[in-house]
Amino acid sequence: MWSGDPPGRRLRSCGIVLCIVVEQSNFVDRLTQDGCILLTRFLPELSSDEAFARLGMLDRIEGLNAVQTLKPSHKDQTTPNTYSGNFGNLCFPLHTDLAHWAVPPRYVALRCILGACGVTTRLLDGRLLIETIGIDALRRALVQPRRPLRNRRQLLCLLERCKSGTDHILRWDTLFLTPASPFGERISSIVLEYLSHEPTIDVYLEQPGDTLIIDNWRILHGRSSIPENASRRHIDRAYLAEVL
Amino acid sequence: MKTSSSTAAKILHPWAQGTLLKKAQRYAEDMLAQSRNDRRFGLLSTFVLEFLGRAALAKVSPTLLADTKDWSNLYFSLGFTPTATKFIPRSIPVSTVFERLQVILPDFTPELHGFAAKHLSHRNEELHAGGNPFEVVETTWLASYYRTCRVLLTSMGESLELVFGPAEAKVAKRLIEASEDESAKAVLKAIHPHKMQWQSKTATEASKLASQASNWAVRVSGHRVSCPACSNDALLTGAPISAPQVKLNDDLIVETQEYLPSKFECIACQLKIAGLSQLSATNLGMPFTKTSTYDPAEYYAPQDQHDEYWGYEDDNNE
Repeated sequence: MWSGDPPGRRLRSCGIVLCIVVEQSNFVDRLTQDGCILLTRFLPELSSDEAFARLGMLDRIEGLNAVQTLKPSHKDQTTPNTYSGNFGNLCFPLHTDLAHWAVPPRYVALRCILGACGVTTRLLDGRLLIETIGIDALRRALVQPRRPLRNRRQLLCLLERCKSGTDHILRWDTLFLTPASPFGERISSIVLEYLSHEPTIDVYLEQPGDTLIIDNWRILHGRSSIPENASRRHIDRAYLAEVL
Repeated sequence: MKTSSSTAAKILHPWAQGTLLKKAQRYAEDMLAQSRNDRRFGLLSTFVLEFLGRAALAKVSPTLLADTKDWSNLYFSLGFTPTATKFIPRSIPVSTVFERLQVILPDFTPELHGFAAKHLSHRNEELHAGGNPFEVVETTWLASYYRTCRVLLTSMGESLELVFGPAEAKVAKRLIEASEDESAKAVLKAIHPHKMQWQSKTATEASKLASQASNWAVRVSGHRVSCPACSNDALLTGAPISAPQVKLNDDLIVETQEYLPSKFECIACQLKIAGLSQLSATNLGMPFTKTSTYDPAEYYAPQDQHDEYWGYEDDNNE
């Protein structure tokens, strides 16, 4: 767990390394190496739009604002197409953002506007999952979005080869994805079982400006449950097509 | 604010290589869930082959899949939405897909093209005519089928494992190797003397041996086939390549399991053939299904009941 660790420290748990930095320089290399990075108190005086723009190219995602506000809400206060509408203030399971899209956004950036004690962002390195279950099995595991997208429920695999052919896109979501074949069902159960006992790194976004950047094609993320006194927590989220 | 063209994509084009390949994966799973002598195995195999062909062509460019009789199809293949009313995207027929692939892919030889065209013609007969091509066509086509699939997958930088899974890919490779083993064709010469010897036997002797062969070649001992030298009942034996599948049929339990043959024996003319390559050269190399029928009481009976001393405690040296 991290809270107030000194800058430059690298936390390790179950293979995942979280690098905490205050300097923006060289963070791309570290992000490439570790899959995620935490910038503490990163330009808190700037608006989120401006701060995110300093980190990379914002990805314009269809149907979403470039910067989205994430605040806890009770299950009955929002719609069932959202995580809050399904899990409310309970913990959000580990997932890939927009896993049900053909190509999910590359990077997720989460920036603290108003922190809350005791709420964590949970991270798990998908490379460990891939090593455990195997590239071939994950590439054969067919899944589908739970709802049609443009009138179609496209077939997807839990692991897709990138266009470059050298890297992969890992996708996982217990809510928005459903298995699309018996083998997909079998591998999904194995993944679920794996995630249920694999420890995560828990990151606190407490101070204004604390910014967590996640490689969404590699790292699974989730959120802890929200205690009563943390209902005003405010995180801004943006998707980045590339980091600078 | 700096923004870039999105790396994210909500959906992929229905004619994109990735979407077509996933359809092949899905149908392959359905295909392999069937017994090899089930007509659905053959039918589903044609769907897999068609999607692999289309995916291989889409890898070159999805525009090659567009039916150019209407330019809107070309426009659609490029990722645009045609404004024509009542537009339904039309792609080229699968026969044209394979024609194009033969020109584009050097390894997609006229022989493989011919096989693909023939196999797809069985599909058309199954779907559009009263014939039952997959009821009569034995799975002798599997080696050519997997060879064709392998060439198409290799052109996309993929392997048989991705579509058929590691276990079936292993079987496929053995079938391909056996079919490509030219030296194995020497076995055909070995059949001839047995044929000649058989023909020289008297009618009484032949009838007696044929009767003995029929009694000997019972299904419980292996897979009954016709001997390539004397046409009498003979046996194929081999090793299982799939887990047994159990079904309830008319209050009886039917267990089926797929085998890859490794040995042939005919007691009528004494012909013996060993090895998948040699068996393939004599058209005996196709996988076979072993079927066993059990009474439920017998099937689920505790193993111990077959124990002569059942009911006593375990043996000990007290």
